[in-house]
Amino acid sequence: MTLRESDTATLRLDTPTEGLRDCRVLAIGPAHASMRTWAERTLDTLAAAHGGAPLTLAFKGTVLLRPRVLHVPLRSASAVIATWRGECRFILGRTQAVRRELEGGRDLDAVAARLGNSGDVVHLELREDEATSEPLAPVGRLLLGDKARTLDILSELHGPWRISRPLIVRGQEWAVDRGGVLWRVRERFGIGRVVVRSSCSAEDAWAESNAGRFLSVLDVDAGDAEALGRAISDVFGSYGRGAESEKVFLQDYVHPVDESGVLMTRHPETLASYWVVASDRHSGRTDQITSGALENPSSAYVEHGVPKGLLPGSLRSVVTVGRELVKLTGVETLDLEFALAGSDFHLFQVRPITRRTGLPEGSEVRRARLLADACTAHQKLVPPRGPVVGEGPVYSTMTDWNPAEMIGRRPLPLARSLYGRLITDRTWAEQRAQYGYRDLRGVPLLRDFAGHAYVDVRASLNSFIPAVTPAHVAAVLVSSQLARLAEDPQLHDKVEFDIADTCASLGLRERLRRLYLPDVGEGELDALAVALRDITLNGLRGLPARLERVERLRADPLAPGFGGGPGPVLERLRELGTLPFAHLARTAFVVTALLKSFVREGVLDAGEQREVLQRIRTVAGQLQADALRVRRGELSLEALVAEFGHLRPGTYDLRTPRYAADPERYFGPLISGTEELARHEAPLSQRLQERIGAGLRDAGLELSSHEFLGHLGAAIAGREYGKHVFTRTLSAVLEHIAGWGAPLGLDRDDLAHLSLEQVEAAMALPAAEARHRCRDAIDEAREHAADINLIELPDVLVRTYHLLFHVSSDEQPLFVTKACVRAPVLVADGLPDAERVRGTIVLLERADPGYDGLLALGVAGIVTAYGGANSHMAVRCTELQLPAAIGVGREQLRRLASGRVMTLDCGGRRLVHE
Amino acid sequence: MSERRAVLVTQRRDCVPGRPELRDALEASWAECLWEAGWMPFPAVNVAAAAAAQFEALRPGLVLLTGGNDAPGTGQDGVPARDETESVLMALAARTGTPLLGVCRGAQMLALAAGMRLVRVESHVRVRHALRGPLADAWRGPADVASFHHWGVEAGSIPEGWDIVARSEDGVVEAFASAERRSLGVLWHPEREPRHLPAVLEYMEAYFL
Repeated sequence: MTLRESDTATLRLDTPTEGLRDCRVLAIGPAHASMRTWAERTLDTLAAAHGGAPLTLAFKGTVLLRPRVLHVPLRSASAVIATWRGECRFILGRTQAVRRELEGGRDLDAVAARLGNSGDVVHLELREDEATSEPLAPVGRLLLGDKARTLDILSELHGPWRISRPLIVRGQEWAVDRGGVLWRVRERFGIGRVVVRSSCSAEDAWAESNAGRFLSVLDVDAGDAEALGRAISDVFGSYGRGAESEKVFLQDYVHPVDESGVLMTRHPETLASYWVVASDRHSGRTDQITSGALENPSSAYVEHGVPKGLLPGSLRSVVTVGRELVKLTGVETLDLEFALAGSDFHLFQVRPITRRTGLPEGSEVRRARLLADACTAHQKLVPPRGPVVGEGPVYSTMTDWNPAEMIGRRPLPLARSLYGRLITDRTWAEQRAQYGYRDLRGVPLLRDFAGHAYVDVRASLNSFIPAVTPAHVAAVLVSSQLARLAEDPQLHDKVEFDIADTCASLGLRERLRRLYLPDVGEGELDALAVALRDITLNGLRGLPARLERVERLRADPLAPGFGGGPGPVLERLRELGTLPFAHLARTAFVVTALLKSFVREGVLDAGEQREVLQRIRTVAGQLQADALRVRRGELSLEALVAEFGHLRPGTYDLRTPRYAADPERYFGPLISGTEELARHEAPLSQRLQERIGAGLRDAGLELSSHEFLGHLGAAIAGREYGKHVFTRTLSAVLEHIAGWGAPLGLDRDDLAHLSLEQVEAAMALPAAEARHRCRDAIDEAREHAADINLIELPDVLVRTYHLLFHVSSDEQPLFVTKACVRAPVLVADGLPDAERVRGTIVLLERADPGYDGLLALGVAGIVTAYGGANSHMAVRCTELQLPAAIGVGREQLRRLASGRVMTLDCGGRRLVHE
Repeated sequence: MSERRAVLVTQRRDCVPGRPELRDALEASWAECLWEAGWMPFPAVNVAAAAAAQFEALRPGLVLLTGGNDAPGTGQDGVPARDETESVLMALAARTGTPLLGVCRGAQMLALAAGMRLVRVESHVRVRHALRGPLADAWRGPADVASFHHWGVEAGSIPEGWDIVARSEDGVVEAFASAERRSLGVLWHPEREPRHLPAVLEYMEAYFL
């Protein structure tokens, strides 16, 4: 007899019993590994349903075994023989005789012929889509592609998951026989709650992903025919034309859930070997991740090699299912939707990830090696080495000199080595020591793990302890600060505000006591407060001397010339540029922090703080003012280019052209579009000044409010000016390098892959040899950069195993202004075209002064992934009162970039994409 | 008399046997030696804030951390109040550029504050041993000294800016100094030798010039 209707038979799945051990799976000829796994699981399922009776299965090539189809005939028949296109593809035997026959046989067709004559054998004709002619195709080829069908088949198998068997409604059926469909639903679900989901052919195809384009309706009462009908019609409605040949399906509604989300078995962009889990642990709903409505999703990146034991509970079960499904389907790149409720793992969707570009050859091996080296390097750095004190190192991409914002998380060699030479190798520590903090000269601020630049937060925190504080006290302070950061990693871009106290502020004594008693004694804390006060006053006194140095650089930006390579110019740039700039930036921070403490302690409100800050005119504002003067004919374009032409988006990045390279493009819109800046010339009210004066007295600072406001303006303007001057020399150095490379046939992108040391060495060589050496180094660096792109590291690195897996929540961004704007999204990498910018919310990974051109172009708002409370863009947006969210984190930026329109609600601290 | 400069001397803290009483005390030789050397000694009380106030009021020309008790992490005889007093005085001295001399435990405190590591040393308790190094060479005092310390400074942990100015014959660090910090630490007991402390103080002034 031939049986097919039993597709719809209900399979009762009992708990597996002991007898399973005796089941046997035999592959006749070559077979894909997933086929064997699938066969074993099918037998497990069937044997469990037959009270543990042993079964033998012999199969040929890839064929879809469906327990629900095999279950019924197996109750009475001794064997099931399945054929596809006239060829026997598998035989399933139950009785001893048949099983012996199968185990001896080499030729399935011959065995089938011998068995076929006995009466109790069932013949099964496989459907076209249940076997392939390629013997080594993975099972996924037969299983995946149609969401409802995939779930239907998977729900037949035992597995570490639960799948509510889908009830499929075809479009045609719905068009002609609504009553029948509703009756069927009622039969199946009774008065339960159901979810109506889309399964459109355009959605799950291998070639393109339209994930989330179609509607799903959650939580429908199966007993309410009207609501149910409306839900089904709505889902069909979302397909547009051709809905009649499509289908929808219904499942039990799982509610409430502890966690829901999406698992990618490979990195969705690079296909590197990571389990990538985006999940929602707060809403209790199942639709938040895919719809993008979520405020606080967490993302986990788990390297495939990580032992399960290291993973926290829910992540472990998600990865277990992912691993199982990859084995079962033979497809490496799957996209799963799931929910966890109690101890159950509910599987809602399995489909292949659509991106088809493969990994470069050998890259997985090189990636694993980079990771192993990074782990070793990290381990070595765990114990503190003098003069650094404190236990429990933390590394961050955004603390202190913020490499994520300035050179990017994965900087190329030239930018990385320039940043090191100018700031993070020596300058940073020299500045701190000169300022009165602990002397950390000899300790670099940045460490690289697998090509990712991190700030050594322990060293940074050490550098904010006054030099006069005894080392054993410093050790306690730093250890305690590191522990707080490890507990709340989101504070990593606000370390100097929320973790460490680095200068005098209002309420400092009380704050220190609250944080450090009883680990540090009261007397020691008071000594610390006094020392911080000294540092603050010292810093303010030092302002004119720093500015004087900057003026010397400005007067002669390229002395002593490039005759001996870029080294001497860079060294002078360091001494007269970045070192005084570091001082100015620190002083600007100190006065800002002091002002903020006035707000924190209720001396001023946030509006008054804004009022104070808006009165400060900086050189960045000067760009707009000068552009306006050009429009009015009061200034020549040449003069404007001479002053601001050195700006480039990505200050350390040779690849982006500077404004001077195309003045029309960069300055044109600025000149025509710029508007009169609002002026805040009225002096601050007497009463406000009096309150500031009182606050200063309370903070133990012998300063009048007039003096303080003078310092505040001078420090902030000085910082911007220092940046303006030093970046001009830096920009010229980059152009010099580009000019040197061009005749050698090395373009800007090539040169960006060389380190500064390599460039300097090559400059001393004859042209032919220089070219040869550079080419080799560039090829190596490119390969290295490609491997690094396959690695996902966290923004905050606390434990060594975070190099292999990490869970990150979204950053808490800094919102500027209280405005709420909804506008189209523009993703910018480099400075975008002026015509496209107006009225959009611009998304940037990071923003340095080179992006100032944007601000005058009528953007509706700015969102950046990186950049803390003290970053350039935060300062500029505050100055201009432009709505902005600074430092939303890279996951959130990725999500926002996937929408066309977004709402930036600064007052409500919300980001929503559509 | 008015030409004498003030020196603030920290005190050891002892439990009075048989009575529920803690006393801050100073070995009598300290006052004698310091007076002899031309200083006006003041004992510092072991309340950190009060000691800081003493410092502000006196503006001493020297801060002296004395011996007795155990430094943190080196033994049972811990004295948190004294630790804190001395650490505050060290911070104040550093801030104002006041010279600082640490003796025995005082030197250990100085070492900890500078980020050095302490290690156990054998055979430096209740012995006399000879010294080598610039400190021993420079002074006119006796070149062998009375030692009473279980802990010394690990030579490898001495940070930049600090010099080893005396070692014992067996190579153990016995004195270290920083001109920048105007600090000197000696691990033996100069107050227990005739005319020894004045010699150390003289050396100190010469070293810091």
